[in-house]
Amino acid sequence: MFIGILVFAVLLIAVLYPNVFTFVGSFFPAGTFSLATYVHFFETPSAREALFNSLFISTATVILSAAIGIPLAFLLHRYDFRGRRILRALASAPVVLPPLVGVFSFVFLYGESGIISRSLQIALGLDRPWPRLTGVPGILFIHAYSMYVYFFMFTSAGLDRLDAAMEEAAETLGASTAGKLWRVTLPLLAPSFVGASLVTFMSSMASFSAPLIVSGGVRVLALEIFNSKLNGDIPMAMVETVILAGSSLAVLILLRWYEGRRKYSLTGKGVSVQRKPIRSGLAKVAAGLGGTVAVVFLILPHLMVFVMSFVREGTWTTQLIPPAYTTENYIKLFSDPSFFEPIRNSLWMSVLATGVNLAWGLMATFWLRRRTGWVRRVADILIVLPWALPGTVIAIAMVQSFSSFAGSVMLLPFLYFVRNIPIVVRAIDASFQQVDPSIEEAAVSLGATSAYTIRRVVLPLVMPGAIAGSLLAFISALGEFVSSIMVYVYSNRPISIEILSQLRQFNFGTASAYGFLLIILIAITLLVGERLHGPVRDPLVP
Amino acid sequence: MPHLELLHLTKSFGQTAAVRDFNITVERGEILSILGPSGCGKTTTLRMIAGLETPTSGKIHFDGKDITGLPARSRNIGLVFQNYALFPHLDVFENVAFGLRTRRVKPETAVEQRVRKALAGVRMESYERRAVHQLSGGQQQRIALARALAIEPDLLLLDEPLSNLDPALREDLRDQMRAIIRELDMTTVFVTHDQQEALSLADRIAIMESGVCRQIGSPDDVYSRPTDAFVARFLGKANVMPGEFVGLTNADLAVIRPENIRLGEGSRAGTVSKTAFEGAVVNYVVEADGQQLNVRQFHRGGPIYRVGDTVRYEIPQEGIHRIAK
Repeated sequence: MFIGILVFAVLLIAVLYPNVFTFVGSFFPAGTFSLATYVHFFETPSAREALFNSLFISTATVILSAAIGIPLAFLLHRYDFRGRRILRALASAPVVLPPLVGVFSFVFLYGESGIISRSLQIALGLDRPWPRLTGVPGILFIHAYSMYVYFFMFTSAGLDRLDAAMEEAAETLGASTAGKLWRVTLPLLAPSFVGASLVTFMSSMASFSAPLIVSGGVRVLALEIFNSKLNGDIPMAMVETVILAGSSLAVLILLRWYEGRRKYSLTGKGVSVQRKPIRSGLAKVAAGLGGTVAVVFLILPHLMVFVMSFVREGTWTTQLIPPAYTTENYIKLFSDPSFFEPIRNSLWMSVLATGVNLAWGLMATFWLRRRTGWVRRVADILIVLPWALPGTVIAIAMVQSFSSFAGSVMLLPFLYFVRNIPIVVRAIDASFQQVDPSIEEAAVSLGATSAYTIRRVVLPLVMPGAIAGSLLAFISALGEFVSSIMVYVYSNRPISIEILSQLRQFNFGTASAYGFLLIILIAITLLVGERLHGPVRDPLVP
Repeated sequence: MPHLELLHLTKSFGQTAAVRDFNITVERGEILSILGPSGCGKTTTLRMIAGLETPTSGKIHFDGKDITGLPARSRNIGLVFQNYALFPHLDVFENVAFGLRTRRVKPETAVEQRVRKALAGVRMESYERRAVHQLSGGQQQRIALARALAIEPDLLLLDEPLSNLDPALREDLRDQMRAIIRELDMTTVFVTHDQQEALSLADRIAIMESGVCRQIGSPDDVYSRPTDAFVARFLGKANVMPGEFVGLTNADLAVIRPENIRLGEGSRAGTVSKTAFEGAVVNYVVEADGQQLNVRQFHRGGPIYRVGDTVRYEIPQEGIHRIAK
């Protein structure tokens, strides 16, 4: 009972209260009920434009990501060619790139004075560098790079489960290659595509770093919230928050409804489709060339951060390639206390938040797994809510509802905890599903008490998955930027905030050193997780 | 002219030969069963006939034409998969209509008519709009059969058609399938590891082991007159004894069916080392002259021998089948 109260207390205080507070608050701009702010929002062309841009960019991101991720998944799943393994391993490289780090690396590569842009200008004899990575195309370019991974992962997982007999059956019934694809394979993968569209759309609505750095004046909702708050227009920030949350949730509910209508599962029985070697000479060259370009494109942002982290501050001005290199950026990071402080901050806040995530997640899962009915349904919805809501929304809700705690260093780790509730609980839950209920029954039949069973049988079986999920939470807290920027105070400023402030002072080398340190920390965490558990994957993505 | 001919058909996967030099002819309207233990190459053979695998060497002739290189979709062969491979995103009607749509059968009324006919053929008329996951295993199996038959194939192939069903249902469906296939008068090749299925459904049986075809013949032929020890042992657990055990030379092997040995009388004696009562029959293992004999007796209310009993037995001359060693 005590555990139940604790589980619900956290859900009500940390998840429900801030969002209800914001929702209700948006209708009480000056203490009394009024729709004035909403009217104002829809009467302001720039606000309407922000809403339209967010929806447009998210839709376009889904289409672009599908156009890259689906064919790549098919290529890697169905065909064998030189370099397939490397490409397969690097296909998820964008995952280890924290949002802000990825964006500024893209600016160094493809921005107005980016290395690639200027190289292309010289090579092709253009008047101006190309691409210039600005405005909507710039945002979409970055989104496509970082979010095609969802489509790639969902499609790959779907293809793994697809029974080869399905396509063979279509073939014996006279279907051509295109017929098999259109009438059997793609319809069977439809649930995967819906799942990927959902995650991509929501991530894109929530995307903050890309518009912040490359928007070039283009308004998007996630950014407008931040600006409104910065300008002290709290009522408007709350209304924008409600509208952003509302449109994300509407798409979530729409796609889930569609998903529910096509209720069939790929059983995963039978044999998987054999990989075909690419034989024809031309196709081999095309696959090799395309594969190489893809590999370079995927890994270039990481390389760029690495190279930039050794650039001596202030030396890279008009040259195509940075001229002077040094290790002093890294030395400064670890020897100068004021530079080391963000690293320490990020680490202690992430460790603390993740630890609480793990402990509370285990309690919640233990307590909830035997519940049914409305208690369970309400808890499930509250648990998944922080995932469905953009980071900006959660941060604003938190800042407004816990305003008496504003300025506390604990608010930021608390925010990390709330944002990572869904990931950790889902991972623990998935881990539980793997445990055959009869194992527990066996322990009980052998005379074990339920506490003993949990301690000696259930926990050891659930722990690897729980830790893997916690590591993912740790990674996302470590690189967290969107909510941090709303809540941080100087004394707990995390790495991502320091990166932004270094970039604003044109200390690209220092910013990159921080960025590369984050990449390394993330990669190490993933490796540790893999040792413990096998491949570490976001439990919300297959 | 034979309807289907396999000529020196061979399939290797890397170093291992799954099928080696398989030769057979199938006449129009004939039902052929390929029988063998799992991993013997029977499914690979079926998949080569369907066009889903390309033979490493050898030819497949259909109505005298070489179809070895023809893709599966151009063969007009109906294949029923072991796990049925029904499309989960389509309902029963659309599953059965699938092959008609790829053939662009027009107008829609013609499609409807042929689907209804196929469903009537398997007695599933009232299930048109069901989702496939709502069907039982036996019903799914019949829909898979209807889907294969709707294209009016020149040849019907069945991959372990009854293996996914529980034993009680299996016998029932075996009888239904026999009725359906006989009614169609369609050339049929089916693969199975279940000898009851093969013996009761097929006109002829090809017995495979380790990729090699051991014997081809009518069910009675392969059962009563096996040409080698593997076939004899595989079908009905026959005793394969050195020739001198029954007064032949040791150049031969003697095949003795367990049901052909008479217990309780005769000139020979042995010791019962195993007894298994099955109701209508009792299976014994009798040790005699250093050999173990499987014996199968109808139970007519007489005594049941127990382990350790000494028992007299007789092997009648007509119960001995001689094969070369």
